Amino acid sequence: MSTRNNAFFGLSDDPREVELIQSLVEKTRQGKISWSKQANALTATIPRGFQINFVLAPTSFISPNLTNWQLLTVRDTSGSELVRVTNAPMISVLAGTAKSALLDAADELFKVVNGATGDDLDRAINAIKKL
Amino acid sequence: MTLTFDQYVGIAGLVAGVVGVAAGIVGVVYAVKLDQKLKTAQQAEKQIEKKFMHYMAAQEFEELTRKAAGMMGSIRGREWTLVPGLADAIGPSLGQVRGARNRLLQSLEKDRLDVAATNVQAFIDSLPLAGHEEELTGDQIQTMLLRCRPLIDVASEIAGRLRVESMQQSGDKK
Repeated sequence: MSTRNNAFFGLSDDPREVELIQSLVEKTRQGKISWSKQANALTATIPRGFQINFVLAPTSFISPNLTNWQLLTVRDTSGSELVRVTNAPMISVLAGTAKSALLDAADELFKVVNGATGDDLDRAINAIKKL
Repeated sequence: MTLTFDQYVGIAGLVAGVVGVAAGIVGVVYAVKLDQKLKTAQQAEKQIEKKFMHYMAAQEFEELTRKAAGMMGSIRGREWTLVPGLADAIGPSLGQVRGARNRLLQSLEKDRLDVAATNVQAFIDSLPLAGHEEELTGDQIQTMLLRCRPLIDVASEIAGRLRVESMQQSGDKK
């Protein structure tokens, strides 16, 4: 399990964690992982009981349409954390550090998931229009 | 025909043996019933303990919600003498409840509480030094409120869930 602050220790990522997140990106793109949007979170449960959670950052009053994430976790069936990625963009900017591979992968996953939930909304709009 | 003394003793022994066996059977049946009662009582006790634990946890999360809401009220009211004390009290309270009730929390709730804690910490770090409160802009105050909001949201949701579950447990066993 990774509990590092990725903004500061970005280069020490476990490559298997990065691989895991990249696999999730790929499977989400293929539509094999179903994500659900909840209040302040995006979650998915995949076969064999893995639980993935994205906790969203509070929406800024300056840019209410801009959604970002603050924490990504992947847990196994027993609830043990396999991956924990914290997104602290302000720290990264202030520290002048490059994003880690793990954070990059998590960012990519978030974009894909966010896009997928947007597609669901489009499908709902189209379905209602066709009534 | 007259019975000898030995025959009387033999018959008496037989009767006593039959009575003894019957008493033994009654004793065993009684013991089994007592054991069943004990198990039922133990199950009931466990159920009450579980219900009480949920109830207490719900109360603690409600208290946390109240504290956070009170702090937000003080920020809105620009009661800057109160805010640092309230903020310093919230952090340990959150950590205590999160640690004590870890087993009752769902994975997403744990994650959301962790994020809420991070935001509360960021809020505490953003508090102005004494005497510099008037320099705070409206945007900065809005950002402070934004950082407190996730704690209220998640703590109140958990409190609600735990309270309902504590009531359901008692109903399920009736």
